Amino acid sequence: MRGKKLGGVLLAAAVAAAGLWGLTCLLVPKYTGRVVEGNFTAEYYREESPHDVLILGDCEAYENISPVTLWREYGITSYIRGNAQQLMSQSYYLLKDALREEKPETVILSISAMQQAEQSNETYNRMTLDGMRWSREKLEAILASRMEGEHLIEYVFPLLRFHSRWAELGGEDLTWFADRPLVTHSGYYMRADVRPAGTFPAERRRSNYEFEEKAYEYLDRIRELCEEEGIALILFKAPSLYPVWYDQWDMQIEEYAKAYGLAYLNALEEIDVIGIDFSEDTYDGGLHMNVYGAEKVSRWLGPVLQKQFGVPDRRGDAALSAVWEAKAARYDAEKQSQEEEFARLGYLTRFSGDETGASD
Amino acid sequence: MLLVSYEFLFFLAVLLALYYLLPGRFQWPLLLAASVLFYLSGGAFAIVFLITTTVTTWFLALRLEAMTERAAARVKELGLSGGEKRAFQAAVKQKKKRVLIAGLILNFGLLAVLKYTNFFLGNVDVLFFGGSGEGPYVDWLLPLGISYYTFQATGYLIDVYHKKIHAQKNLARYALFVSFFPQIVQGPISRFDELAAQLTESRRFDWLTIRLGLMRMLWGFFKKLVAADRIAPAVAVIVQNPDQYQGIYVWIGMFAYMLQMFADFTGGIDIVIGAAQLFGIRLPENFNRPFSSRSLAEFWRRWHMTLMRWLREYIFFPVSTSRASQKLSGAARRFLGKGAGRRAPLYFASVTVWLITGIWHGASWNFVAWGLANCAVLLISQECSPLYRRFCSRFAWTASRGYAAFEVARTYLVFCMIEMFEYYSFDVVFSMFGSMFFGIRPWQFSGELAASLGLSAADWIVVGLSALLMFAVGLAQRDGRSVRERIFALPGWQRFFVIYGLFLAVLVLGVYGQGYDASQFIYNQF
Amino acid sequence: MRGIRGKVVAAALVATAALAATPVPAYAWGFSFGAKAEEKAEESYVFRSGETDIVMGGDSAPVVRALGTPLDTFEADSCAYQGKDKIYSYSGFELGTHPDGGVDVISSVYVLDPAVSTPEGLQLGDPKSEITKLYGKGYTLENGVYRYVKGSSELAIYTTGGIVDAIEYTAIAE
Repeated sequence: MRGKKLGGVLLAAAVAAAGLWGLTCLLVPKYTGRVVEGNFTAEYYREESPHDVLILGDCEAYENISPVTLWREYGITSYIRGNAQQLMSQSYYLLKDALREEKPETVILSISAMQQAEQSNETYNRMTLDGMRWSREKLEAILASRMEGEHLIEYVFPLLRFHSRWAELGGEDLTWFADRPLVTHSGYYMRADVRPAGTFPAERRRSNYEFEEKAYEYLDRIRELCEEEGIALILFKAPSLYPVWYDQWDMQIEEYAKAYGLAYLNALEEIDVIGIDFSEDTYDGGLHMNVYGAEKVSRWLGPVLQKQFGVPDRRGDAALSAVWEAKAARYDAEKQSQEEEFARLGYLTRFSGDETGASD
Repeated sequence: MLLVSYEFLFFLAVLLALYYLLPGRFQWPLLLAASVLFYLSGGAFAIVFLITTTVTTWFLALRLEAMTERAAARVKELGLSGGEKRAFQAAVKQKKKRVLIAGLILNFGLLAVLKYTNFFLGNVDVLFFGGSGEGPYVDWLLPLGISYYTFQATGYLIDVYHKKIHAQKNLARYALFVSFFPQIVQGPISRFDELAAQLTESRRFDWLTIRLGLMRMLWGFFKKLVAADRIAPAVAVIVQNPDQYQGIYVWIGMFAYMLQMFADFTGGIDIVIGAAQLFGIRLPENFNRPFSSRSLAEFWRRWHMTLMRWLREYIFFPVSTSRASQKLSGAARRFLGKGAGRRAPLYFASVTVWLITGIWHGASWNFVAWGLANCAVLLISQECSPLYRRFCSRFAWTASRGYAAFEVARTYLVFCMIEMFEYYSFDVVFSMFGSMFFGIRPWQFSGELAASLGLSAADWIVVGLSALLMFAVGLAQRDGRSVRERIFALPGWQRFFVIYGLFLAVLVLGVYGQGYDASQFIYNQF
Repeated sequence: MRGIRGKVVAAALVATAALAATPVPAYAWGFSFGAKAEEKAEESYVFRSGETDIVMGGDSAPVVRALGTPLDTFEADSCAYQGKDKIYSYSGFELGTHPDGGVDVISSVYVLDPAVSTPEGLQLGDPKSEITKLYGKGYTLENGVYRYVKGSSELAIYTTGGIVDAIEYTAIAE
């Protein structure tokens, strides 16, 4: 009789847990509509081969460099661990998390996130951190970037955060119940549409151009981690015309790089060398590169990585070639499909829609 | 710490584990420590007032008891009897009364100053400065639960004065009675004799008690998170824009408001009583199916019962039997006849109680008007009761179920209409009454106006279903049996599905967390 | 016992009744005594262009309509489409908006032209003594930037070498 009761309790517990798990899978956002950034972090764990170069940062990292181009033309294996509005602290913990799987020779860190010490919108935190595998790094990352109103328990049980989606469930919530489609190309967010850069508002003054302590703290930690692991750290600024990259900010990074013997690649100063044409190479009026611009930036980075940092050309490795050929094939297919759609419609349906629109 | 928060649940879980792991004699000190911690979590400074009330009422109660004992001893010692004894005892009573009054003035004074200074300053502003709003005002935060614990502590003091209970000699045990954390936020207001002994008993773990407590809390969370918090924005929109929402929206607003108030208050009390039950402590009930009342008088016997009980015992009876009341009765008899003379104490006490009820609910004349409106309706219906009884005995259909249902609806309507006094001035209230009955227009049925209330169709469905569920539970409670116990009597898998279903409903449909932050509108894109 | 006592009681009753009665007509005319203190109006810095008042945090749609066609409109999607900031360029100043709860609210005004002056009369090129004269001493000074806060709006006056060279209104995020 006792055994039966215990069995009943265990059965009930199992059913309850399964039900909660199922509801979580159902209600968690799938990020397969207009906004796909939420899937970036988890996609990293699907990689089957190691990378010599790891690229970290916010949209300036994941929209301006093309790993497939780096492979194709230089045999460089790379991955971009970037997310929307990824903070320096989050970059640090994602790097640490990656180091449990592999050890790249070089890390490129996009330093645009130095402007922002604290997160502005809780959604960005979720998109960046939810995909991380549970580890000490994830816990520390959550605690470091937590905003007011966020609770750790809501990360442990995402159902507590996303339960309100019950009223907005769509077909994709069933299709992608347990799985997710691949949305990036080794972390690169592809856009093949074009919107030329126009005029920009006047440069606004600031009272204080010093980067905040918290940003410097994590920059230091990234640098020290790379030193410990014998990884070469490169500081990188993407060629974005807006928001303004103040001279005072540029100077601080230059000084930091000089003080610690790091390379600082500022693409804004090499626009002509890279060959960027802001009437063709950007999809959002100069804020980010499209695929054409990203490929140009990659062609500029490639030789630097190989000659200055000795990143090897791995095109001779059969196994790696096979993996990257598959990636390249997928890359080309999507590029072609986006180009075709843009030529036909003048915009990409997946990414169009108003700010309050329902998921596509 | 809010009752509906992760922090509180965590706090409760840890406390529960410690409570049943510790040996019996550490259990009540643990509860006291937890109550202090709970109170401090709402802001460190405010505990000064709680301590003041606790210490003064404890000390003065001991004084009163000491005075009583010494007086009895003196009587024996001096061998007093008859007239001398009576005179001596009357003198002692006078002294005791002064001690009691001191205690009451101190504690109610504290409450009055903290809660009503702005009200007072506002009145001064109007009377002497023409209501410019430029006068002085204070920015004090009301200490947590002051309206509740002050009543509870003064009730204790009054009971000791009347020798209904013995004073508690141990300050810590008494402090637990005043500060017990589940009830400090929104009551119920307990009497010393029904609560104090329970608090300090040592207890053993009993799974059924825990389950009943958890179930009650779950039901409370359901009412508050799924129903009350969901309809709250719509209610706010209607209440704040009476000119825009006329006719049928006055009805919708009224029902939505009552649904919100019922679900919020009773839900909160369920969480409180459930939480106390986890520790084996029974708090008095505060609600007894109030919307099954067939008259406003019955309603006030079923709604916020512990407050009404306190007011009845400590205000109504003393006032109606006081000398002032008797004098009033005499004067009334002389000027207005025997009938008035009989009624005077009742009217005097009722008006006093309702004035206090009104001002207790809020520091403004709106609330006073609300209290007096309730009083007026109650007194008028009392006056009319003989007429009404004759009416009922004449017509047999008044005994039917249909008529009972009508009375329930009428009571609900009357209560809602009186509620409006809390928010609006007379002219607006009466125009709303008019709009309710004569102002219904076709254009009010437009979808656009409905959508402007801020709730989606799915939300309205959830509100409707949860209202139905609450109604069904209310019906199931008619025969007095506890619904919880009935659920626990169900066979295993049925019980599991009922409880699990309710739990999932709270988890998924509850209005909590980030998804409901207005600034997250982009969230829909996922 | 009736004489004086009775009169005192009667007087007390009348006085009580009178006191109790005063709120009734006052209340009926819509005064809400208790709430007065809470209704202190929210003030904020207001920038004026022509006849249009631009208040930080207010709905931008009517303001943009009133100001007419802008010289230029710049839109910037934030990362992952979590909001679209807009900057409208008008003659002499720029108006920035930020989405909040489905509505574009005014988040900033940046004065570009020395010919444009704030409602209080400050212009680019004025000496810093003008700042304190027009806005008082309730500022915080950091790196030559005078910041004044009123309600949920902030006025930042940038100076270089003692001369005003930039004026910015921003809405303070809550």
